[in-house]
Amino acid sequence: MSREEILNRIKQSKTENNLSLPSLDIGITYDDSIIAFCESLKSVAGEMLEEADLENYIKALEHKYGAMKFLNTYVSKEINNPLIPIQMESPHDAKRLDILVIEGLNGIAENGAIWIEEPILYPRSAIFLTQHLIIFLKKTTILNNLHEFYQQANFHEKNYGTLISGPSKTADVEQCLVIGAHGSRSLAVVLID
Amino acid sequence: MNHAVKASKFIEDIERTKWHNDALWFLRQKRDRISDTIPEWEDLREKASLIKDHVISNLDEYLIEFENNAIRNGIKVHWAIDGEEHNRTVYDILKNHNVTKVVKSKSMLTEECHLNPFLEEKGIEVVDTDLGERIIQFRNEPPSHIVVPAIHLKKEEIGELFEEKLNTEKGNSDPQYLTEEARQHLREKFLEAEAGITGVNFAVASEGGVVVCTNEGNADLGTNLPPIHIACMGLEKIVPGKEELAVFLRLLARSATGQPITTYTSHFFGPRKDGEMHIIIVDNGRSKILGEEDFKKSLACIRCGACINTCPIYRRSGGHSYGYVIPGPIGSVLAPHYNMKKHQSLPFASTLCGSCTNVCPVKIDLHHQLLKWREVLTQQGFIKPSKKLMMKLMGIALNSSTLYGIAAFFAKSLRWMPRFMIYHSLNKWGNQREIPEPAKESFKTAFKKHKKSK
Repeated sequence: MSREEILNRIKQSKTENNLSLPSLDIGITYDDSIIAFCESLKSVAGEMLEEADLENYIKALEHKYGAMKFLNTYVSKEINNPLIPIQMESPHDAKRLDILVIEGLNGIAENGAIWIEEPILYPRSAIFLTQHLIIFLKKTTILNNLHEFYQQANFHEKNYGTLISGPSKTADVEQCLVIGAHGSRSLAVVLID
Repeated sequence: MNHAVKASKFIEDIERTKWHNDALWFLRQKRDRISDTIPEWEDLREKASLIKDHVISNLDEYLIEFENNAIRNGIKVHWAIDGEEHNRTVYDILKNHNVTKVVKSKSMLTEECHLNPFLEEKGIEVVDTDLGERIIQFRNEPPSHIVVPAIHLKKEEIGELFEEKLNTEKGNSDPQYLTEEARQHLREKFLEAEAGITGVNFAVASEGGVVVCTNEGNADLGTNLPPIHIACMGLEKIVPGKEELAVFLRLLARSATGQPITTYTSHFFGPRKDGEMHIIIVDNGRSKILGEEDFKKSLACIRCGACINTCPIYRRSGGHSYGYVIPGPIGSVLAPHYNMKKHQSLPFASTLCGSCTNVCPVKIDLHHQLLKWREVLTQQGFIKPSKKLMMKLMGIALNSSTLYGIAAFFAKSLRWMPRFMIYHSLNKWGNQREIPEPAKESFKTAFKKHKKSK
């Protein structure tokens, strides 16, 4: 069996030594991690949004991208918006989604990334099929850097999670940055207390 | 065909060479700018290097830990000794589910194993979903760079290609427009796919799951729509735990494109509801490299492409000149392990300036390994007799003060020698550059004079 063969080859090839893992007491910290988060988010083409401005924001998106119809929310509070939710029973149902509003669990100041994990919504595909993504994030969840994030993260019994930093993008045509590759065309973050 | 021959074709187009050089240098500059914002950057590289050294010397134990945890998470784990077994394993999974349409996100391993032609021959449609990869797939070409696979193409060429393949507007080569058309085209492919294949950026042993990084979101669409996910990984992709993962994620995108992190960093730690997840652990020569003391550090590579972007030879010769799936310094170090004869010219496709080593986020001693390969190739008789003789003569001259003095004296004759005697087919250096004018007096004479006058 290849498994045994591969493991045997490794055993024969590797040089025994007692190199231990280094300590990881490093990581940039900020005087104000919320401000740092906002700056990082901007640098990756994300936007900040006030909750009260949500309706205006949707209007602005419609102005730029055309009329929208479907918006699903997965946040703990009521959100006023002019659009209607769709039924999502299979991963493919999310394809009609114009806007998805979800809650992030952690924000990371050094890179503007937000952690989202599976139990928050079904299907996972919605995060990527939606044309636009709005993430609600509690200010208190913002951490300085990835070291802090992974130290406190608990992936036990979790099948999937993703760090999202801004809208999808590509620079595969002549190094020219284009926002809106395969995933969401925009990403806005609403910071809440 | 050797690198120098192919590179000379590439540089025939001077303007294009300059454009290619600038495009890559732009990436290198972005990397510099963002790494300067992280005060602990060098410390981070050092930690990454130490973690990799530790993993490389305990690889079998970590692989077993990874496998156990992955199985506990409900993932099916397969092992493949070489590319052929890898391809067969992928095909068997697909066949068992009667899959005929597959979407694939970027994976250098599947390129290395030539998975696409293998599956296509069996009647399976494989669509590469990274925009750059889709472009080169349409052109039936290998990638010319591991992070930006279509970096060798101009937008006009991509515009014409899309006109033919996707029926886009004639003469429209606006990147925004072309990307939008590709988005529409690939959305259809995502929605009709029956399985998704991805590479693996990091396999976390303590969690039994894999992490995949993209900017476009193609790996997530490719795995979260169809019910089957196959993740293909080289056995060196292991990181011990989530804390170590942090170190590599902080280095990867910053080193690659100058971004603080990729747009999507997705953690696949188990199959989704009603879905299946497979991981294929591939050796394909890696365990052999592990046994080579001088070269084993190359297994630490996280495929960021920083060494490629900074390499003056890569920038001015293009990825296709290398004739191996991974170009640039890291490719030149890896390729001869697989076929020394075929790739014998690659360790010479370097000025040994050391820039690759300086930017490598995991501190692989790239230019030392390139030099080491030259030694190995010379010992194994891969060096032309003329070059060998030249090196021998130079060795003798440089070892003797008298002989060196005589040689230096004659070198001065270059000042008055007619052009045809200096610039001819034997003088490769004189091909495209002027030889600098030799000094009127040698350093030795000048030094003596200086000493006297004191």
